[in-house]
Amino acid sequence: MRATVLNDAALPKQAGRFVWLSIDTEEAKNAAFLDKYPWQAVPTFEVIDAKTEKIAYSWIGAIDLAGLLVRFDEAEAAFRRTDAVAAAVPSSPDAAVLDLSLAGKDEECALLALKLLPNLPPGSVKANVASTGLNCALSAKEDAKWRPAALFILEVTTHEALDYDGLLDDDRSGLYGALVDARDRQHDEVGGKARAAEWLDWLNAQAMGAPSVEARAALDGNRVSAAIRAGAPERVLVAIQASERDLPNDYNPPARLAVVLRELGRYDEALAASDRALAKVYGPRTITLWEARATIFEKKGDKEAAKGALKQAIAFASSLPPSERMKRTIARLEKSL
Amino acid sequence: MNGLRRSAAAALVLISLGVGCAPKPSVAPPEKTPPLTFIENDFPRALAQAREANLPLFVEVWAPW
Repeated sequence: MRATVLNDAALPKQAGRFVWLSIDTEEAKNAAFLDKYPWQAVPTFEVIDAKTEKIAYSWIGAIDLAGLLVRFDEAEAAFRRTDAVAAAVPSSPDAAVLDLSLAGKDEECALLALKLLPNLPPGSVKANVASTGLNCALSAKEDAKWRPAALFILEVTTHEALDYDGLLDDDRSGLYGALVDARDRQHDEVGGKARAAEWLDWLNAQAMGAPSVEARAALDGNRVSAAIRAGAPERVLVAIQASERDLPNDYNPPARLAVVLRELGRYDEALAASDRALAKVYGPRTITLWEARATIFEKKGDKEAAKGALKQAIAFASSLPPSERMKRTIARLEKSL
Repeated sequence: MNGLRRSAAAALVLISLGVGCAPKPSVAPPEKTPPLTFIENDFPRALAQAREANLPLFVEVWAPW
C-alpha cells in the first residue's frame, strides 16, 4: 500500500495530522514493538495515543484513498476521546466482517456478510464483505445447516465483484483467491484449477502493465500461488527469473523460484535458488525459507536432509527475541520433525 | 483514488489552456508539497515526537514479502 495509496499526490496535505511510523515485521529492532502490539496480518494500521501508549484505533488490510481519508477522520476522533475503554475500529461494514473472521467466528462472520450484502452498492466494501464472508463459510463446519445456501450466495456475489470498478489490485486478487478456495474446498478440483488459471491470466496482464519493476514484482507472490494452484508452475518460471535478475538484493525472487522449481521437479536447481535466498534473507522470514527447503528435500526423497533443514528453522527461531508468536512457531516446527 | 487523479489531470489541462490564451497572471508557482515522511523502524523516536507535538501516532505494520 505504501507504493500506491500512501504515495498518492493527495496525501501530503494530511501530513500534519499524525506522526507517521513504519514498522517492518522482519526487522529485529522492532521485536519489542511487535511484542507490545501483536499483529495478525499485514498490513495492519494502528493509531496510538503517545501519552498512554494505547491503541486508539486500528484496522487490518489495504484500503483505497477515499476509505483511507475517512479512517484518518475516525482515528483522530478516537484519539480525542478520553472515555474509550478499547481501541476503536472503522465504521465500514467490511471491517466488522473481517474482525469476526480473524476472531474465528465463522458462522457469525458469514451470516453478517449475507445480511449486509443486499444493501451495499457495488465497490470495494461490498467486494471485501463478499470474499471475507465466503472465506468464513468455507472455514465453517461442513455439516452446518446454513452453510450450503450461504456458500452459494457468497460465491456468486464474490464472482460478480470481479467486475466492480475501482478495486485495488490486492482486493481483486483476493477475490480470485477466494473463488479458487471455494471450488477446491467444495471438492471441485477441475473448477479450482480453471479459476486459478483465470486468476493467473489476470495477474499476468497486470504485470505486463506494471509501471515499475517493483510494482511488477509485488504481484509475484500471487502469481506463484495462482500458477501452482492452476497446476501450471511453468507459466511463471520466466517471470520470477526476471524478477531475480531485476532485483538482485531481494530475497523474495529466489525464494519464490525455489518453490516453482520444486513444483517442476527440478530439485537441484530449487536448492540452488534456496541457497541464494537464504544468503540474503533477514528476520523471521528465514524460518519460512528453511521450511520451504525442507519440502524440496522431502520431494527429492532425502528425509534426513529435510529434517536437517527443519532443525535449522528451529535453531533460527530460537535465536530470535522470545515472543508468544515465536513460541507457537517453534512448537509447530518441533511437531513436524 | 483513480477519480481524484483524473480530476487533478483535468485541472492541469485547463490551466495550460488558460495560460496559452490570456496574459500570464502574476501568481507565484504552486508550492511543492513533500510526500508523507514515515519514521522507519524507530518506535521510541516516533513516540517522543508524537508526545512533543501532541499528535496521534499513525503506524503502518508491513512485511517485505
